[in-house]
Amino acid sequence: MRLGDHLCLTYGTDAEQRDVVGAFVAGGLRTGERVLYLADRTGPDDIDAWLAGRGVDGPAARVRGQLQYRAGDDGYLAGDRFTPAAVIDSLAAAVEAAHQEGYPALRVTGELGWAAGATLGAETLEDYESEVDGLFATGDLIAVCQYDRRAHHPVRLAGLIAMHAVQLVAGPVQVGDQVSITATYDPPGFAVAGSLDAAAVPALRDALAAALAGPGDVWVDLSTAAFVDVAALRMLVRAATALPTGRRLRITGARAAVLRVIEFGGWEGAPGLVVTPGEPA
Amino acid sequence: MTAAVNGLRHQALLYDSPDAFAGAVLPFVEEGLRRQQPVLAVIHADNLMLLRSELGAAAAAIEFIDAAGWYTFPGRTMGRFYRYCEKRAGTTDRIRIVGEPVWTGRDELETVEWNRFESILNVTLGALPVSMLCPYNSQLLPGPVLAAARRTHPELAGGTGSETYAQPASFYAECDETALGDPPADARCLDFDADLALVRRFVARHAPALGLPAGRLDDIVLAVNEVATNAVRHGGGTGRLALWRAGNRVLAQVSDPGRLAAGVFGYQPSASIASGGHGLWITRQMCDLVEIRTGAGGTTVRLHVTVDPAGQDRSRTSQTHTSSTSTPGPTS
Repeated sequence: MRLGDHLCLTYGTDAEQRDVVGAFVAGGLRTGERVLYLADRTGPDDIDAWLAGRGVDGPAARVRGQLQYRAGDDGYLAGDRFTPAAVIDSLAAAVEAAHQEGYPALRVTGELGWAAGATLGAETLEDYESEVDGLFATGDLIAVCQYDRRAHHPVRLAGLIAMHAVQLVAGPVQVGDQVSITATYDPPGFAVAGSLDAAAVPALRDALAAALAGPGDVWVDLSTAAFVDVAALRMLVRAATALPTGRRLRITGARAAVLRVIEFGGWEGAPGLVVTPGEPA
Repeated sequence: MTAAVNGLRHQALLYDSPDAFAGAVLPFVEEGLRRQQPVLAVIHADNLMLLRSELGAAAAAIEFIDAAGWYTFPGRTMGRFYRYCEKRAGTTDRIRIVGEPVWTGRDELETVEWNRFESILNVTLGALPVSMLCPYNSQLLPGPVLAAARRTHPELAGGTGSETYAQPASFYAECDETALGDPPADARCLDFDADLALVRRFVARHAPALGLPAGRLDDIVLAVNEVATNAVRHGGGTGRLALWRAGNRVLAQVSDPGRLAAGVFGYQPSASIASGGHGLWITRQMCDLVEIRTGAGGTTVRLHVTVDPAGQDRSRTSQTHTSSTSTPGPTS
């Protein structure tokens, strides 16, 4: 993810929401951006608890104005109804205010669970998701729209997802019963459980592409990978060597068998590659 | 010796006495030291002591390795030589290696594969700026080993051409003339398709029962997976795996109906990370021996892992650890 992105997250459990949104908010606070949280059912205390788990002090961030929390009438539902133009105007004002106050960017995340209920104007959410894109062109705004899969109708949800440039998926991508690849957000990358062989190549390629699209280092956790074939490791090493200077692909939890392939392949000193050994848990 | 070639110079030294050894090896390494080139001496323990004492203080600039811990299994040794040279190729005009293979205690198959190694080395290291001098003790070694040395080294020590030198491709084909034969009737067999997880589970279940040590299971599972992946991808989508025990070896054989294009099958590393072909190169290093036959009748790859603890640990236990002796690597 990067500035200028209009992302959506679909989640099916509170833990998934906590992991992804917690990492998103904490990441923004750490990099000095302003973070605006437009809440529906999550209270400020919940967010503080997420942040505390990541070593970030939520109350202090609110006191100094870096973290802003808005809900209900203050958030999406001014005048107890949803009006796309009003929300877009208030977001534009928030971007401007963040600038005025010296923040390099504004990071927004909002819960859209209210749109699944009998909220006035809920049917105009699609108009909003489409029109709000204009705000991102300047590149100093990044937003994650949160959709709870338990609340929204799947057909409507599919249409809403398609209106976002990138979808964050919490929860693993499964290939048959032999491998699952789970995106991680703090640190950013993915974790592999099961076996990476020829059948897993497409899933690995997708996970790698999604991780490489973000900024900074890419973390690949192999601590629960039971088997990694030569082609899969070569794909990781190749991605590492193609990274621009300063970015790294970090393989963690590499078992003896993985280390041996890296040694025999002559990939030990590959530019952009950092390998940390680890034994099975 | 003035190197008129950019790539590999590969010479055999047939010596009949310690004096003859020192008389040829000393000037070779001393010239390297004079030119500030990296010098690696992988030689037998007695020659190691001899060369050290002859060199005196100058020995400190040379990397000495006991041949017994380096010449363990052909694929692995080739990988070590390649990585040693590849790592240093950009930093020097020439790398000097004294490489004395181990011939004692080798059975017939191992002898063939080590001859093949000496020949294919001309290809694997061919493009690298390496001068390699390979001592052969003509008093101790059997005639066929000495004859093969003349066929696998383009030159003899001193720089004269070897009249009986054979091109690596034709020597390789000669080594393949012995047919592999069928697996025994009691081999455990599996016909497989694209479900490689099934292949790996089959190996993991049966190889330990054949006496494979737990520490080698990952190696053979990976090697079989790579060869089976090739069979599925290039061999028509299916293959047959057979596992059995023969003497002190566990064997895993993968057969498929496809035919490989001519080549040295895993004895030449891929040119870059972007190109394919890493699987067999790594498989050659994972296993103790790899035999490959391909033709109109299909392709057979037979992987050997030694069970005998003495053979298996040869690389670790017989290593000499002294101040200037380096170890070949953590997983030898």
